[in-house]
Amino acid sequence: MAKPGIRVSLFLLWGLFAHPAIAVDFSESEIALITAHGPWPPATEMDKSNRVSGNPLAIKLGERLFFDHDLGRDSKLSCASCHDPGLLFSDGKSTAEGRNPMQRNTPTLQNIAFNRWFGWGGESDSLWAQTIRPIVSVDEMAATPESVKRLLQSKAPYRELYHQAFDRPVDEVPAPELLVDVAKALAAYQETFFSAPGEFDQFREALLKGDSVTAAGYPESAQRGLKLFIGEGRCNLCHFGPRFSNGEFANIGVNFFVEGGVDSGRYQGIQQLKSSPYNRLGARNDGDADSNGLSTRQVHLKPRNWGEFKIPGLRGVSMTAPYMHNGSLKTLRDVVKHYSEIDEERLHTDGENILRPLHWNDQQIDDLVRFLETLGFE
Amino acid sequence: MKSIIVAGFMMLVSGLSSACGLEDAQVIRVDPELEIYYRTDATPISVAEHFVLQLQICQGGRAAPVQQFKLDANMPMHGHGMNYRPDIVQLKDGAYRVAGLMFHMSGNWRVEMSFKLQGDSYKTHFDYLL
Repeated sequence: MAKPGIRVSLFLLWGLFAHPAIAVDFSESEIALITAHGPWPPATEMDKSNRVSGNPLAIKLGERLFFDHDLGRDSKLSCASCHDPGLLFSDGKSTAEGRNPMQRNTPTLQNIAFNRWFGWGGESDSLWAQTIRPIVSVDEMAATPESVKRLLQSKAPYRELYHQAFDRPVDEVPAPELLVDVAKALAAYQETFFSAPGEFDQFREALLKGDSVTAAGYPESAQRGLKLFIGEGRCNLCHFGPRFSNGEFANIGVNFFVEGGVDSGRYQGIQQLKSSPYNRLGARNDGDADSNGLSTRQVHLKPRNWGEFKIPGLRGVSMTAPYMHNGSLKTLRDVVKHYSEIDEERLHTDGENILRPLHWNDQQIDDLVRFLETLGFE
Repeated sequence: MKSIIVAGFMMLVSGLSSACGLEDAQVIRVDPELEIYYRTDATPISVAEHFVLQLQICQGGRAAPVQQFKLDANMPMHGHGMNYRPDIVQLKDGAYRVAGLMFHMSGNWRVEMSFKLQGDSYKTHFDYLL
């Protein structure tokens, strides 16, 4: 039989290996904040403004069209030309390059279905309305409703899939209406782009269950970064919830001057939204605008919208460099440093600044970057 | 005509002692005779999700014939309001349904109301910590 001193030592050793401690101490309130960032993925809802949302045949049609260069004029560009699946449906460039150089960064389409607003300025209130824009933009795919109709008429698989999904032959549909249907099929396909749960989600689940063994496996650097994210950094005020975005807009002091003028972001976005024939208050909404058009009806143009841009979700963010609406920040480290050294003179607030210089050291910056890397990428 | 600004003394009412009011509502007692009952359709309110507020303004235990009712919300510490304009519908005397509200971040929100009643102007508010 072991002597008492040895028995205590063995017990301590057993305790050390059987119940490893989480490296960073999180309070009850911090754990509540952490658990608000899940579960992932959340329950999905079909887009009520799109009658083929969730329709497998429309999804199949949309998938084929997404990769078809013939959708663009002169067969130059497809949707995938800028929304590359290998780059989480972005393009790795500072600003998009269509037929002509663009002024904004190509956003990822990962988890796009969960957005309330689409485009950096929220110019669209549905994914299908947002999809129409690059198809017909002369700077992007430069197609026309007539060219889109000719494409669907010319390829037998498209004729068949369209007829099955929309229950009518392509030939009988006026070109402008067909363009909207094509956008709705593309939207149905894009709605299937979900990221898998990442290391953070495993940590969150472990905290909820009180599973300290699994929780202890979450990198210590990421734990410290998470503590900064929900604490001193106040990142979670805007990057809230399971998608790490509240879906709204903010001015974070990024330059909005562009060649030839300014990009006012949300300000012009609301103006474009209100005047769009494709918004949820218009005739192309397949659902009830009284219920699914509330945000569009009530959104309010204000002076502070000038220079605000969409708060992007952060899942998979390590794969979607460069960052910001104009792609001006090359790495995640640059992003965190931007916030850490933010120029308050560039922020337009009347009260306490939500954002203020944090003056973080290299380790704190590295920790927050490490945390962001655990938000999944596939 | 007088103008009255009330900070808002609140209490939770689960049952009604008079003919006027809302069940399971919070109440602001503007003065011994004037009360504002309110409740939301979402309990609790979720960040960045639209919700509806129902209100009933009562004077002397009866629905008050309120005029020019206005309501909006802001975050006093941050100095910004909501991104959406409230849609205010009057249901009957002193009774309102306010839709389109959204608190797009967590923190302290102040819901401010104003109205006229029998020649007097009233302003009041209540705070909601999200």
